[in-house]
Amino acid sequence: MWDSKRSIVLSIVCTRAVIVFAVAVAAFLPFLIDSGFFSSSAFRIQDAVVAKLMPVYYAVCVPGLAALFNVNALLVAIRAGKVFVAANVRYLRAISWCCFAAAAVFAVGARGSLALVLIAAAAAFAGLIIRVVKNVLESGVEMKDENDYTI
Amino acid sequence: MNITVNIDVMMARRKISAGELSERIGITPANLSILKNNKAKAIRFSTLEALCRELNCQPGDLLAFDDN
Repeated sequence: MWDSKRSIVLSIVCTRAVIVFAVAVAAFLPFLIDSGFFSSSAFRIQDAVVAKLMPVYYAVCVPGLAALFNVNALLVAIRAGKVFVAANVRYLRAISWCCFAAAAVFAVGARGSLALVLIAAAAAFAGLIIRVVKNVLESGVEMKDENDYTI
Repeated sequence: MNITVNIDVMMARRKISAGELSERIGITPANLSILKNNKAKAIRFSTLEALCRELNCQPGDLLAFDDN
């Protein structure tokens, strides 16, 4: 049956798969554009448009991959049963800042593109939500600490 | 924290070891160590009651307030 442990394992697998995918796309993007992959495949996007978005993708890869590595570390800690620990608060804080950084990159790189502006807004909103979760976890860590040291 | 726990003083007076005291009051030696080293953030009335009973003392003998 499905349980929380399997759910965490699935999350870890998905996170690592996204990391590999993001790195692979970053590595092969120039070759894909040169070969006309995007215009000829089901995407049907002009290669010139993809080439224009390429710097934005590479710029957003930095905070994006940093966020993914932090998500991976957070999930590994949760799998090990370490939920209310200070390290997890640090991971969530880093993920939140990465979201804001990605939002800034998308906003700067949008240059009038509504889609990128919407992605920037979504990333900023995700960063805000993660920040709230971080604050909740921080309170939880303090409560656990107090509980552990109540004799 | 300005509250200090003086269990070790009372333990020395009553000539009781940490292991024996922890067994008598029903807490782990690790938790007793936390109390002795003033790492505790709170103490339950039940623990304080057991300590006072086993060490034959008052709560004031175990706890002290230091304003400095």
